Amino acid sequence: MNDNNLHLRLHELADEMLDTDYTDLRERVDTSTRRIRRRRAAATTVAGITAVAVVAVGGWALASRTHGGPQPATTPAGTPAGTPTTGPSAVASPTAPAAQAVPTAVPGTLVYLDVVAGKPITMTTVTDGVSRHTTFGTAAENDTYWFAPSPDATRLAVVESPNFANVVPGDLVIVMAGGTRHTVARNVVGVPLWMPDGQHVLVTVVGSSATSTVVDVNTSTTTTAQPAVADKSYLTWSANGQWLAYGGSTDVTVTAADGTDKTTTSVAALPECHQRPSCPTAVQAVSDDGRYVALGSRPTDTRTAREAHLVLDMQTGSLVSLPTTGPGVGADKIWFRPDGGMVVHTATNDGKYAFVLVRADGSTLATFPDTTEQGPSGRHLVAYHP
Amino acid sequence: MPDDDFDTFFRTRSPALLRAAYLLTGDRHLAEDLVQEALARTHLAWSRLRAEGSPEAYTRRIMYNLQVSRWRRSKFAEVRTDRVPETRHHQDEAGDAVNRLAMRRALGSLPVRQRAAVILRYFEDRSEAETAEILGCRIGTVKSHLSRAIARLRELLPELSDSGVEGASR
Repeated sequence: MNDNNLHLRLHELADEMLDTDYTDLRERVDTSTRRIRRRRAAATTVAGITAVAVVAVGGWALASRTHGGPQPATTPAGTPAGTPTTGPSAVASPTAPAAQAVPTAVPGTLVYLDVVAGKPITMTTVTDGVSRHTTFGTAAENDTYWFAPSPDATRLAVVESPNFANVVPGDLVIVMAGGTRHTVARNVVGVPLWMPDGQHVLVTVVGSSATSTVVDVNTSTTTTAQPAVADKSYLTWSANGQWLAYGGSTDVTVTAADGTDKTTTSVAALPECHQRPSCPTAVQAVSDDGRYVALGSRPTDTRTAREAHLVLDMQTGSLVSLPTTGPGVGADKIWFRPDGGMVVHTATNDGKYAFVLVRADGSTLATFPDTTEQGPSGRHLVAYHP
Repeated sequence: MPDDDFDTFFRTRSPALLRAAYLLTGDRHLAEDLVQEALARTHLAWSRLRAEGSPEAYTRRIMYNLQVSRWRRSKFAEVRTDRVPETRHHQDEAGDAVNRLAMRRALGSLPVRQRAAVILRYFEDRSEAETAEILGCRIGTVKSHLSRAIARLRELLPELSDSGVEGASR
């Protein structure tokens, strides 16, 4: 070998790329092909609908929070959470799709994390049923706290605190695939929250006072967060980035992403608010039209919800009936789909988990076992991207 | 059958595409993602590309352009460093590994267009004209990219100084 030859040195380096699983890659290519094809079809459909709408209303249209399409079945907000009094409506609304194709797996991307000190931090993404694993280096002791995967699931954000339990400020660190770590902010407390663009993280920086701060993870520059997102508990954006929602002590608020068009709905009537120290106002997800929120119990850290077990209709103040897989078990995570439906992650009677795909009209489209989740101390589901 | 043809294309060309993608991204996961996306787009355009007889050129063009646009969106993915491991000249496994690491870091320190030009020119042995076509720029721009890239690589990897990496134009 001649070390002084760029050509050979490049080929030697490229030789590191020999152990690819080509069967897996082929499946991923097919998945990507289907995804691109769906997006192109959706773009064509949206363009067509827009053109029709423009013609129908004479060239202008008003944006409305209330979607005119099918809506999930609801029950009053006073209903005990997790035990809907009525099942999903069996009758599709007039505008529901006549024949929605049943997918062979949960559509979109499920993100799981496996973080055990001393072992590789492993992210498992399952996209349209196809799994892939990415490692982010070895987990340190302080890494057993909450990692936040970026929206594109290529990076992790974590606050490396010397004493997380006692809220000692630490460094905001971005972990790349492979394990490279970059400190992008200091004196940070709490769980980092990725913003929809995947380039900024919202954190609380401790100085003379605690300040909601937006950190650009590319440049490490920081700016004070806008009022629309500053100092909000359990803040989350809709998948399309157009709405955000956050929880108060006994109420939930949804606004447009710029903070306008605000709706606040009380959940104080829920029995949980009387029987437990706090109401389930931790928002895990908000629908793309801003009408529905998935709510769960309030974890100690007020940045992010860890679970959701009920869905609130912000317009009517009623709870949405959720599917159940058996007596005594219920949803533990809920996300919304662009088609108005939901992905409900729910426990099953055999101690495992399943995904229930719910149509926009509240009926069940399909149920799939969750074969990736490994229980509370192992690999766990942390995010879903439709 | 078109899909059979694409299967054959996938089987025969994926390894080479992955090797180039690995040099481009410096990370095997990102390399697989890049090739996956480029092949998916190729698959969608397969009938036309097969008729035109140039599917691989299309795939490579997509791959390099995707990497440039991804870099624009997320410059953070570029881990730049002025420090590269000291290269070793005796031939043992550890020495090879150190040399590869040094090469990877040096390559990663280049702006993405310079890196792409180096890979096309010195890894894939493309002419300057072909490199310009794939990158969608003029030959003069390719020459400029290569000149700066080689200067930078020599700075980081002095042993490349007499490697004959300059001058040869096709």
